[in-house]
Amino acid sequence: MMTMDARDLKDALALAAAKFRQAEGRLNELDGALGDGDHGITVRIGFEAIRIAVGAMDDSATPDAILRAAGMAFMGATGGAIGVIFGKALSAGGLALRGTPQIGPPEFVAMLKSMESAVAAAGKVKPGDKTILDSIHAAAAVVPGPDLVETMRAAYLLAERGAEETAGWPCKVGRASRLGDRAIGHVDPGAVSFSIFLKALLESIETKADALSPHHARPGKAATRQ
Amino acid sequence: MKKLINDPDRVAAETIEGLALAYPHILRKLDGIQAVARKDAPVPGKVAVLTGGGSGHDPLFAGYVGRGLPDASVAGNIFASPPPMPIISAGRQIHSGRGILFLYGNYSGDILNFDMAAEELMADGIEVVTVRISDDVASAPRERRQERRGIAGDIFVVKAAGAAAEELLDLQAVAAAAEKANENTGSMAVALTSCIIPASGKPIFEIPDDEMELGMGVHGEPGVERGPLRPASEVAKFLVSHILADLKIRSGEEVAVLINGAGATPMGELLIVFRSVHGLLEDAGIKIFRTYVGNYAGSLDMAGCSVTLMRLDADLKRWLLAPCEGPGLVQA
Repeated sequence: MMTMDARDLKDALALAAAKFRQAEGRLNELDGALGDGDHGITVRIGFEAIRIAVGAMDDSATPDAILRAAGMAFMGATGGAIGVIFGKALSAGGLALRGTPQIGPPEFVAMLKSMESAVAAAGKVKPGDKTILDSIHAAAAVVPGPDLVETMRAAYLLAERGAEETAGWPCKVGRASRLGDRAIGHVDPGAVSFSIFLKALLESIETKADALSPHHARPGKAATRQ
Repeated sequence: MKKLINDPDRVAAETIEGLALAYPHILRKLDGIQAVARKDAPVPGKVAVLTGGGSGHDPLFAGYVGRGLPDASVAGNIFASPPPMPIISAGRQIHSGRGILFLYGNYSGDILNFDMAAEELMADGIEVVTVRISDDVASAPRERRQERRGIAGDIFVVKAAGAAAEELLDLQAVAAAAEKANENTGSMAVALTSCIIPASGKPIFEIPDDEMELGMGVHGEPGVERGPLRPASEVAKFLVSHILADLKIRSGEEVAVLINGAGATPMGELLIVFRSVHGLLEDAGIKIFRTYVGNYAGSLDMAGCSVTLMRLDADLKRWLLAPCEGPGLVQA
């Protein structure tokens, strides 16, 4: 049974930093429709700071300490509303993992729920306000299955759909709230970023699961082995 | 994009470094953080005033640090609030025992970060009171004043708070001075062009060559009216009439006037705008006590300007005229 330990979490955060480097231009463009067009830059800088901070932690660091350090690193490197909100999300995810050296499906879902309540409280937002909360809220509704990779995949797909749904709404909070109906048709870049984060965690652990056990390989890969 | 920079990610950092190197007789850079403090901070017996916000608005906020002005300013990246940690660090370094006034523009990102910093400092036993500047009359109707943003009127508010702190008033009184200035100050802007954030290299919004937007915010927030470019006199009339109606300034009252350039508008155009503002106030029987014309709070390379009026009483006049020395404002 695949679980995620501290080493896996560090690797996943490093992969997320790489994914946010690739997504920088796209996220800037999404933000350009609603804000000042720098969201991609901000999350790229934030996750680069996470990669460095977490990479410097020694092997005894637990998953909760790693995520809390990631939250502090993101907040410290970025600023703005997103700095506090994404930073608090990561730190709160860490708090939910206290005393948990191995992250399985229930722990992963507990992490998402902790992130959701922290973001709702910090940003004073609710689902439907067209913020990062919309994808976190969607992901946190996932039902933990027996398998971590499948649970993470389901959470990621829900987050992605949650982000896409924000296109249908006006912005309710922050500087973009003044756009009114002009915001409709554009997705919230913060919500997209959270789905990219979950996708990076999924892909990192999926690669390891594939390497460990042929049972986790997708049909295409299994076929090539025969 | 054509900009005199080295590294798009280091624009805010190198701006602060340049400022500290240019004005060592006024301020110093605080180690390890994107912040400056007046050279002699902490000043014994004085309430510390801490300001700050996103970069890209030079000389706001770091240019208004010095004697008779805030004691420190913490700079975020371009158009983004600084994180809590440097605010906490700056607060500890300028605090002299009489408490700290946090004074910044009313934006959700700034509120989140400065509130976290205030909680941390208060947990250390340092008294912190916050005043958020909200002078932009175009950003929300008067009955929802708590939603309004801070724009160029910031200058009058930080000037009043800095002067009140210099009089060695206590924290509540310095905060009351800032509140009084804020309540009596109204601004409204006009944007002629967009501006380019160095790290993305793209304009933050589009506006056709022959149009302008009245009431636009300093980060391109939508205003109240977009339309064809009009003469300076008509723009002045639009801005002044909205501010006068909002503040209910009447004949016989006295005001301070600020005509602020957004960054790419020449001083001459600002003077042409002021010429009209002067005539309008004269016609309304409102006396101009003091005028400021220039680039006080920019929006990178945006073209446009804002008009700010502050209704004056004896206290606000004294705080406005009090001597100060900061890179962006020197008064003997």
